[in-house]
Amino acid sequence: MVKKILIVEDEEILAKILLDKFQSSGFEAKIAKDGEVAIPMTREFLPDMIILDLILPKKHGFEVLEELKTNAELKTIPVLILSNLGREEEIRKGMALGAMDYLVKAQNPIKAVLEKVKTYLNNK
Amino acid sequence: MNNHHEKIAKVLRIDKQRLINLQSEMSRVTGKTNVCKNVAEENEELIRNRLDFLGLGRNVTAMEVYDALISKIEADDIKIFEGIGLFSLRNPDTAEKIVDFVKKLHPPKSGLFLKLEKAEEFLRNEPPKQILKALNYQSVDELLKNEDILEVYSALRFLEDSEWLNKVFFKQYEMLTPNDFEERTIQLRALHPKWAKAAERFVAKKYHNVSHLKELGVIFVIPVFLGISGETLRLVSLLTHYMNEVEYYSDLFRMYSAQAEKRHHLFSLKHMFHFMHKGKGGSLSFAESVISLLRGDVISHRLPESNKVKFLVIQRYLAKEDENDWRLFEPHVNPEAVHWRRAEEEIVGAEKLLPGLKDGLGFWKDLDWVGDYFKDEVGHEVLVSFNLVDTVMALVKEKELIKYLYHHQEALWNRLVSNCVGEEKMVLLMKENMLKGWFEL
Repeated sequence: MVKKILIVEDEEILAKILLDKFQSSGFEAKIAKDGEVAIPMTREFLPDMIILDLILPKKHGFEVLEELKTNAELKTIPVLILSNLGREEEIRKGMALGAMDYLVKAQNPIKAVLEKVKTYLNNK
Repeated sequence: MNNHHEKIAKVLRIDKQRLINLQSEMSRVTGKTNVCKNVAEENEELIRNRLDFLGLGRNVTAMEVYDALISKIEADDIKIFEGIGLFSLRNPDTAEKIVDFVKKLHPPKSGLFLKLEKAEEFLRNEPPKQILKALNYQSVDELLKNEDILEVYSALRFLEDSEWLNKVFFKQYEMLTPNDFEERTIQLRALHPKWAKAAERFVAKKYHNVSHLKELGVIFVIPVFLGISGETLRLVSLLTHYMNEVEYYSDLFRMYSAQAEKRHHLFSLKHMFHFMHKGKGGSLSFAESVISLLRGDVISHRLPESNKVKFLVIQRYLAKEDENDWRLFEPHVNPEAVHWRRAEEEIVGAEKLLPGLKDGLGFWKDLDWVGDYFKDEVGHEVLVSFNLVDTVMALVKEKELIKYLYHHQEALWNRLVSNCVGEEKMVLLMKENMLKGWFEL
């Protein structure tokens, strides 16, 4: 079955690139452009994984993560944080809130995200 | 008379008969025949070739062509974004990475620019209040002790009030002499992120995050990005364009400096003072020439009718302010379009630096002056530009439904003249007649 990825990212160019990479790798992918639409889209799309940016319009990524992890229906969906924020306390907070991993944008090439997702979902 | 003239006249929005007369005069002077025919045929060939590449036939609608060009730009933008090794435009090192890439595309050359100590002197004479306030310094001495002079001078452009700049700060340029200039390498740099917050208003007003100071030989990127499609390619294009433009103006500073030196040898000190500071017999002093260039002066009066072919030299995109400016309908050449043409050639050459771009940017080669009318859904004819810059600017402003055409139209004027006299000669005529504002063939 085709795996589904929800990309919660407001940077248009990055969202487009990720969407294109996931789709051409055989995933079904969708983009949520801000924090507010992330939860309803998750409910509707029921992705196998969420790629979550933190600095988002309307609702911060940590709030989105908290809501996901306190929602009985959605809390099992793995969340990979992909953010420009790279301080130790931010990484710690993300992981404490239940993210499966945390990638700092400045420290990783785009293909690392794809690899990380593929590896996780294939081993699941 | 044939449809070649009609086609070109329509793109340039001028009377067909006027174009026919202009071509026969140009032929008489240069001996070059069929210029309009050749340009129109080459235009048609390039359009057919590129439509074919895009998988479109010649009878497509304007919207189909426009959408296909926009999609092509989007795809090329992504390729260049990835090729440079960017991840997110909001990463702190993004501006630096783009600047480094442009330096490879167009290695910075040496030019004649305002001495840095003179720039410091100007700042001390007229302290830039907004810069001092933004960085919380009490005096210019403190500012210069802690900050890079090139960054501070760049910040004049985006922090200080334009009325103060023009009426007070740049007033100091009226006393400039060739001795205030020196040879040094053009600086292309990403400004420190601390300027980003202060520059937000400037970026919003100008719609992009890059600017330059011709007299200082500096081109700068303010590290503020929107994160939208087309932004990387637009920035690369703008920076490469400015590299060419700053070099061009430096050549002019050299020319005026040499002219001033010549006068120095010819006349007594008393005369020299007169020339250097006041000009004489209609010729401008060195300072006046520099100021005129920096203001981007364009002739403001109509030239008298005569049998000779005259071309205006228009050093700005007048259509930005008024697309019906009378000068746009006069025979003219535009140095900006030359800088863009060179920038586009260099961007196409990026394929050599980034193997992933293969078969990407080459599409845009030699399209700066190419475009045509296509029918829209209700049968009206709509002009579509194939110019890379028009297309990338349109993509970035797509949400506001703004379409650009003037880069293409100005490049077409240049194409007509360069096909008659050659590009090198055309650029020489531009340089020699920048201040006068026109030339005769």
